[in-house]
Amino acid sequence: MSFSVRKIGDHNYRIEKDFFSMRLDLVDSIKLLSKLDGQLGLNPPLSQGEPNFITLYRDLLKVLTYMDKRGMQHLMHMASRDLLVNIMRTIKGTKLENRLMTHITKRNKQAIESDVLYNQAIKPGDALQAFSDFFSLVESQLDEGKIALVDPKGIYY
Amino acid sequence: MQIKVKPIRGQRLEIQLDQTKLMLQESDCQQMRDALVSNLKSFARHDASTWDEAQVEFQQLLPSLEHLEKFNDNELVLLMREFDFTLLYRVCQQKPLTTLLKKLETALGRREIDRLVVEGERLPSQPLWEVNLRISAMVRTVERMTDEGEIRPPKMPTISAATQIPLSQSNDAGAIRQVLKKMDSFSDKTLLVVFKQIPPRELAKLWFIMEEFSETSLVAKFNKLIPSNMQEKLKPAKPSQLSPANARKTSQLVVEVIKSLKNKKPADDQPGSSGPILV
Repeated sequence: MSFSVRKIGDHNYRIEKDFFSMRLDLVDSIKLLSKLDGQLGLNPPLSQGEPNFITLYRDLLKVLTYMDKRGMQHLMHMASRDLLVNIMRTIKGTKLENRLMTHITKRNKQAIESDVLYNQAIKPGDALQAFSDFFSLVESQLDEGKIALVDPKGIYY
Repeated sequence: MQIKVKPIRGQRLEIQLDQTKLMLQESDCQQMRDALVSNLKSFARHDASTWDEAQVEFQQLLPSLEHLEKFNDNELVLLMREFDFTLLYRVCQQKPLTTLLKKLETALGRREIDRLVVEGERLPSQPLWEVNLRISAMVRTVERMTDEGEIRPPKMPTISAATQIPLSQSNDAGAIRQVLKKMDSFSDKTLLVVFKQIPPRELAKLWFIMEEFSETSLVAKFNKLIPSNMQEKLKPAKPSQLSPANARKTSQLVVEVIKSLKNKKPADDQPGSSGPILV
């Protein structure tokens, strides 16, 4: 029998096989994924690209930006400045970075861009930590009903 | 959660998730990983079919929302007092339904509109199926208020003949027909008791349903049991068309009436009477 993974709600996953069944949230699932990829040698060589989880998290971050303005602003407001600096470092110089910045206050934006770390590349381990922290925040805000995900291909009012 | 993955002998990996330890072949690990990735990639997404269904339903429900244009100012005020219009006002703005927006502003006044707008800004974006639920709830509120005589809005225009499915061929037809057949099997005496227990407005609907389903024997019984002066009184309330959901509701009410009569019978000290038995 093969592994099956089912989605429960917005950000939980149930992994099942035979008698084994376990529920993981999004952040833990990606942590597990990053370790499996490392051990199985599925990531591209360091010289040629980034680990798979960074690409995956970036995609999820992009999906987040479809959320309504109010939700995005709330999320950016809840995240600490240090966390935002690290998140921006993972998407430095991309359109996505610009999109995220539009939901941050001018003052906060200036503070992030003048941070000493902002212009330094981020190590994969630190990137995983930053994404994990940020998406833990996303999960808690979803649970509290403060934000709601938006399907980019869906119709919302 | 503590997550560790380390290689052990024989091309296997030991995965530790808090208290749980798994020892898996590498191929199994790969399988689990792939299953996880495909699920994680669908973050925030719903099946295309879910959206398609919601879209179809929305197109069917939209005329009910637009129909509010035909309400008079007082009816709109009364409706809004009972029904939270916040989300639907946002729908009106985004579509935009200009005529209805103007109508609402004259009826409710600028202050009330401002309140709706402010409340709307506080509400997170809602997927189309939530909008559909809201319109359906509004339709039910309008129906209830009409039934209770609070408002008398003009009837919904007939859906164009091309898209209209005859009541007797709708999805609910089977269940409705079953109820009618059951009624037809009752004795005249029992049937009269049932008819008498049904509120007049619903009885008028039932009359229409019986005719629509061409239940001639039942219609004949109805004509025999209900005196003509009573029929004259019912006629104005008899609809010229009825949605399947509405007809279903009426038939369910009939079932409730029959059930309650059945429960009452034994307590009525009438051991001899043979009450209807509904299966």
